[in-house]
Amino acid sequence: MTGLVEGVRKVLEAEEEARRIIEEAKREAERIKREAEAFKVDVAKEVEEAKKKASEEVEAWLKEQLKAVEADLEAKLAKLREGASRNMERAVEELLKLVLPGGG
Amino acid sequence: MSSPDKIVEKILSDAKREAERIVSEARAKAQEVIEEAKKKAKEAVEAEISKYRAAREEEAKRALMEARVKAKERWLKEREDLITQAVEKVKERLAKVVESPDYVKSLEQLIEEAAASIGGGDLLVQLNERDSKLPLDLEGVARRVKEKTGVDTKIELSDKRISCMGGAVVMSRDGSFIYDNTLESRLARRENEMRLTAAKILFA
Repeated sequence: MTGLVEGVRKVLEAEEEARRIIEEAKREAERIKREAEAFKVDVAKEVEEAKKKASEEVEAWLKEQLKAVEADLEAKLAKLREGASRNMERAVEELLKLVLPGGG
Repeated sequence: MSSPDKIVEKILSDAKREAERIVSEARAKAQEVIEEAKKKAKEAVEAEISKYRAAREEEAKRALMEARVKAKERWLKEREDLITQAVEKVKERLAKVVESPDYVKSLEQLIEEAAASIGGGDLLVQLNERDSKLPLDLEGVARRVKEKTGVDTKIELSDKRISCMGGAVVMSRDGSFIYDNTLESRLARRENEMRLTAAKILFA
């Protein structure tokens, strides 16, 4: 008889423990849920950072392009000056022929 | 193990399994919620940035185009300056040419060209003070003009002096025809042609 009572008591305690374990799990689940719901992305901050990054990228691209334009211009100017320096005297002689009969 | 112990063990192991399931489901659900929030945030950021980037790129392209236009303008200005340099050098050379002995022949040719353009006849030549003292063969010039035009031609030096670097103004005696063949006029008349020629030679 004592054994039976002891058995029932153990079972009842186990059920109580089981309820406690499940309740504990539910509380943990609720905590996880609340944590997830509290998760927020700071969109404004993300936007600001992305804008900054985009600006930097576009500025870097522009800087590179402007540098190329400047280098191209310098090369073309150098070519003009070189040509003019080499051919100036011949040009003057030819122009004189246009102005003066016999070319002076 | 006694029978109640087995039941107890079963109850506890079932409870633990159920607890794990509850927590596991909660975690999975939470992950979904977080992922969804991240996705929405990413979409919002991308929508905002897409417009922003497009605007910045448009600004940059405009700036680049302006820089290219300015570069082209600088190149054209440099080119024009070099052409102008050549024309200025011609003027400098002309100032020396009019002092040289060969200039007499050139001046006669200028008078001849003007006289022939008028069509010959009774003509007067206006020169500057210095050129009026040169030993010009105006009769020879008149003969050549007659050969060209078939019109009897007489050319006389006018008493009137003009202000110019060199060259001549030739006119019919009655003043009805005038041909300005001063060096300044020739420079002005041929400026476009000179600039084109200079460009072709300088930048060949």
